[in-house]
Amino acid sequence: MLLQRLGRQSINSSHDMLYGAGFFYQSLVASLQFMRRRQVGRGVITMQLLFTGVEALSVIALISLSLGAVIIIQGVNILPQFGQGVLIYKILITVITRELGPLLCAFVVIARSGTAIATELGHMVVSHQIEAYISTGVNPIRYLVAPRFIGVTLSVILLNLYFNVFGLVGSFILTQFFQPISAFEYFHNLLLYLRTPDIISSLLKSLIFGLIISHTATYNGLKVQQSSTEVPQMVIRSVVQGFTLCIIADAIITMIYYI
Amino acid sequence: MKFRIRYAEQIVGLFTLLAILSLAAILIFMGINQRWFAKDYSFVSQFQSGSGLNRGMAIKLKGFTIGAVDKIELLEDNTVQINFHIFDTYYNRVLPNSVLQLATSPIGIGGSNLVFYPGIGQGPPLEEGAFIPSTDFAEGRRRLESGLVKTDEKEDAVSSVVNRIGPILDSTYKTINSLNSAITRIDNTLSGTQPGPLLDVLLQTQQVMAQLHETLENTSGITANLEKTSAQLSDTQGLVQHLLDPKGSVAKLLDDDEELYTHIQSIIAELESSAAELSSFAGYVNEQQPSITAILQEGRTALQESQDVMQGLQNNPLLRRGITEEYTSPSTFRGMRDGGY
Repeated sequence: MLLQRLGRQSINSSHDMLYGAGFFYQSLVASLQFMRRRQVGRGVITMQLLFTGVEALSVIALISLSLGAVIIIQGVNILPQFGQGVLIYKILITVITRELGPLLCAFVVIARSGTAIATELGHMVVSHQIEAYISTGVNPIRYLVAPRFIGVTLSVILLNLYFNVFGLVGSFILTQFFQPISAFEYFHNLLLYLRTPDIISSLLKSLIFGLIISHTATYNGLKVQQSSTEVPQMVIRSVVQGFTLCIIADAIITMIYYI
Repeated sequence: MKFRIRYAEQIVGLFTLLAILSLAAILIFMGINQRWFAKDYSFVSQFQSGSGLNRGMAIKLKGFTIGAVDKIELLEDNTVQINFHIFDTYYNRVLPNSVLQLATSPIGIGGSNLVFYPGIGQGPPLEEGAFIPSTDFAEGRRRLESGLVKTDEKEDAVSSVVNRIGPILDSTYKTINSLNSAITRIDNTLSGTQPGPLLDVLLQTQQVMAQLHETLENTSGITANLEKTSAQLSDTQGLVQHLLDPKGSVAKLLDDDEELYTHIQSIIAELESSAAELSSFAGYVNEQQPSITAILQEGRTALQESQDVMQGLQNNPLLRRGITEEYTSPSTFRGMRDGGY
């Protein structure tokens, strides 16, 4: 009995994963075609960028400014005592650019936009709007998923860039009110220690996190069958899957970076 | 319509453009700061160990970064080769006799510094790819010690100590290693675990020492006699004169027709008879000693009694205060008769 249930769950999980992989492939192809064909859903991308990117900017700015300022103040006070004052730049780059920047941006986008997308698509399924699209010959993946896929992914990348700007530049300005340090020395050393692989790693993480978030949100949103009570369940599932997959991807990319 | 929705495209466009511009600005400044498009000159150096060295490590000249380490590799002979580059603005400092030094903090904090000392050499800068020795090797140390390089004369005390303590510690370490090795060999040789000429020599020496000890014991007796004789001979008025004087007693004793000998013999005979008489007298005295002692005791008692009589007469009531009662105290002298009889 137990074995039977375990086997059934395994088969369902495998089927679900394969279905998800297929959905991801379809979304990716549709997104690439969407960029090339300049379809009518361009406005959807714009709105998605507005809601996911622009509106999340204030939260991102607040988080990155606070985080950067804390690192600078702590580093300036503690590290020179051990003769390792220059480590502050490495710590800033590691924390802001490579690790927490992409991850915190992803978390904010999951919490704000991932849930919104999953809810919206779930309600569209419940209200038979998806069926209507299909019946009129409109591919819901191309029309609904692809713009969100592109919009969320671009938003995460752009938000990550802003996170870096606010975290590295804005936090320096904020620190000047508490503990002034030489601007030339700060930016000179920061740009000296900031390496191209750091930027590539950060952008790569943002891209992958964007893909993960958009995929989990659209996939779980469209997975709603018929009842509106399924919507919050799928929203929660999309959030949990989004967090988990982002952290796993972060770990894998970080490991690849150090190989 | 809300402002955001109305101008959504403009806002998103600005949002995207600013992000791209920020990225571009960061990349441009990075490129300028990290000299992406500048010409660098590559050189090679060698160190005993790779500890303290790492890729991208700055090469410093008087506190200024003039280059960086590009590559570190372990060679077949277990030495470490580094490839590094010097910025084109400092290329003219890479003169012949230049030296690299890895200065490591002896207290473990503060990291390491790869210091470049430009050589005091004539001529153009070294060609790209040239080998610049480090102070880890004899050639580098020789250049540094013989003043062929310009060292930091005005550096702070700590940096000076840090920069110089590395080679000193290396030398000390090597010396200690050599001493340790030498002591181990000597120890092995002395304990007999390592065959060698020293062990044979030591064994022979031990035998010789035992024989020498016996010889010295015999010699010490002879030496004592010789010392005594020598002391007597050193007195010119003593034995020597008597021995050498033809009219001396020795000569006379030896050449007087036994007159002196006979005389001495008669004296000895007289002394012998006197000694016999003295001996018999002593025996007689010894025999008479109790009688003499008794006489002396009686005399003493008589004197005591006469003293009492005299005192009685003195204290007589008719004459004066009578006779004082006598307290007899035991005599401290105990004669042979008191004990024996």
